[in-house]
Amino acid sequence: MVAEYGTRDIVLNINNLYKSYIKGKLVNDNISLALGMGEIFGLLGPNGAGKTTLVSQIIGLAKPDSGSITIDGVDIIAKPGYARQACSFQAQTQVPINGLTAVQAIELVGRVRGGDTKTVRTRAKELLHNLEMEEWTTKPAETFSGGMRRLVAFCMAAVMPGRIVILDEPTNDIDPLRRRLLWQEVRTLVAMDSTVLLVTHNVLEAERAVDRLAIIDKGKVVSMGTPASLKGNGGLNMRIELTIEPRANTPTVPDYVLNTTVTGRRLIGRLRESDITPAVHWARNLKEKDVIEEYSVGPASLEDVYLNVVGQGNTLVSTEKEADRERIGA
Amino acid sequence: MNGLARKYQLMLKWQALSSKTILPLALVVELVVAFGFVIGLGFLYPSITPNIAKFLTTGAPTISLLMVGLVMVPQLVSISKTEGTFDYIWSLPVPRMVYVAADATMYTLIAIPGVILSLVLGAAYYHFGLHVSLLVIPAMLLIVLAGIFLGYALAHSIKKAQITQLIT
Repeated sequence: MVAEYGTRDIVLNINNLYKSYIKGKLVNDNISLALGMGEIFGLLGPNGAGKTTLVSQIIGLAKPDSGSITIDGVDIIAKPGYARQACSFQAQTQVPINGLTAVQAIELVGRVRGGDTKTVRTRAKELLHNLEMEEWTTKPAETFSGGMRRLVAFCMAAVMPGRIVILDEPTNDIDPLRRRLLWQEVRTLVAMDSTVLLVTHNVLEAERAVDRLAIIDKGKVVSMGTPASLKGNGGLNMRIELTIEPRANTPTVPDYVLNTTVTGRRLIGRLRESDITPAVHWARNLKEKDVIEEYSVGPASLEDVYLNVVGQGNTLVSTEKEADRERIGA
Repeated sequence: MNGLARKYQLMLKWQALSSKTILPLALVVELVVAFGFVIGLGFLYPSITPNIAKFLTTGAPTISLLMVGLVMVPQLVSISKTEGTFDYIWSLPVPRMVYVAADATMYTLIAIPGVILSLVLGAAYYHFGLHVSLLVIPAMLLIVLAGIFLGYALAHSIKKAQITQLIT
C-alpha cells in the first residue's frame, strides 16, 4: 500500500477493516486504504456499498469488528476524540441548522473546532463570498433550498478544516455554477494542507476532482488507483459504443472488444488504441447492414470502469477468457 | 476561558438557537401543565387542607421536571437521530458530556418557569407559606438530570424512533 501510495506523508491509514451490523453480514469486508497529505481521494460505490459505514468508523462514530484505523499514526479506535478533532465532516444527511442563519452556523462550527472569533469570522465571510452566497448570509436556514443547505454544510466543514476533510456527496442538489465554485474551494482546502476524502456515486464529477480513488462494492475495495491508471487498465483505454437497431439482434463482438456491457439498446466495450481501426471498420459494417443505428469510439471514461467493476443493472457479457486476457494484458 | 467551558457555551448557544422555534411552545406547555396541576387539585379534593395542598403542590415541580426529561428529551433525540443531525453533532470535537451538559442546561431552563409558577400559585391559592431552602437546588438538579439521562437512555436503547415517540 505504501509503495503504491508514493512518498507523501500518510495521514489516514486503514488496514484490514471488517465491520458488520448483523452477525455474518459484512458491511466492510477487509478494507485497506492509505491517504496522503494534500490529496483528494475519492470513495466511489453504489448505494449500500458500505461507504458511509466506513466514514462513520473514520470519524469515531462506530467501531470496527477488527482491523485498524490511524490518523497521523494515532489509533483512533482507541482515541475517537482525536478523530473528531482531526476530521471535519460534511454529512450526506441534514445538518442541524434550523433556527440559525448561514453565518451563525458556519461560525459556530469554526469556533467549536478551535478557531478564534476573528479568524473564523474572516474565513466564513470568505467562503460565503467565494460560493456567491452573500445574500443568504443572515437569512434563517428554514428558508433555504436543499442545495443551499448543502452549501452551508460544506462551509461548516471547510471553515476550520481538519487534517482530513470528509465530504459525503457534497454537490447533491447544487446548481452547476456553484458546483464549480465548490470544487475550487475543495482545491483551496488541499492548498491549506488538508487531505480530502470525497464520498460519492457521481462518477463524472469524481473523475475531474480526485487524485486517486477506490471503488467499493458490497463492502469490498474492488479497484483502486488514479483515474488514468484505472481507465488504462491492461491498455484498454478506449471505448466503443453502439446503439442497436430496435428489431436487430445484439451483434457478435470481436475478440479485441472486451469488458462488454449491454444496457437496453446500448452496447459498450473497451479496446486498445491499436484496435481502433478494425473496430471502426466493424461498426461501419454493422451500420451498413442496419444492425446498429450509430456508433462512437473515444477515450474510456471512469464511468465505463465503474460500470464494469460494479456491473449493477447491466448484462455483463465478457467471458472469463476475455477477463483473463485483460489481466495479463494480452 | 478554558476549552471545555468555551465548548459548553458554544453548544448551549447552538442548542438555544436551534430550539428557538419550539422553546416558546415548550414553555407554554410547561406553564399550562403546572397551572392545571395546581388548580386541578382543588377540583379533585374540594375539602383540601393547606397541609395536604402543600404536600401535593410541591410534587408538581417533580412532574414538570420529569416531563421534560422523560418526554421532551427522548422525543427530540429520536427526531434528530432520524434526521441524521445527531450523528453530525457527535462528529464534532466536543466531549459527549459537554454536549449533554449543554442539553441538560437548556431543558432545565425550560422546566424552571413551570416549577416556580406551580409553587407560587399553589402557595397563593391554598394559603400556605413558602419557605425555600437551598437544598432545592441540588434536589432539582438531581431530578432533572435523572430525567434527562433516562430520556437519553430511552432514545438510544430503542432503535426505531417511532417506537420511542409512541412510548414517551
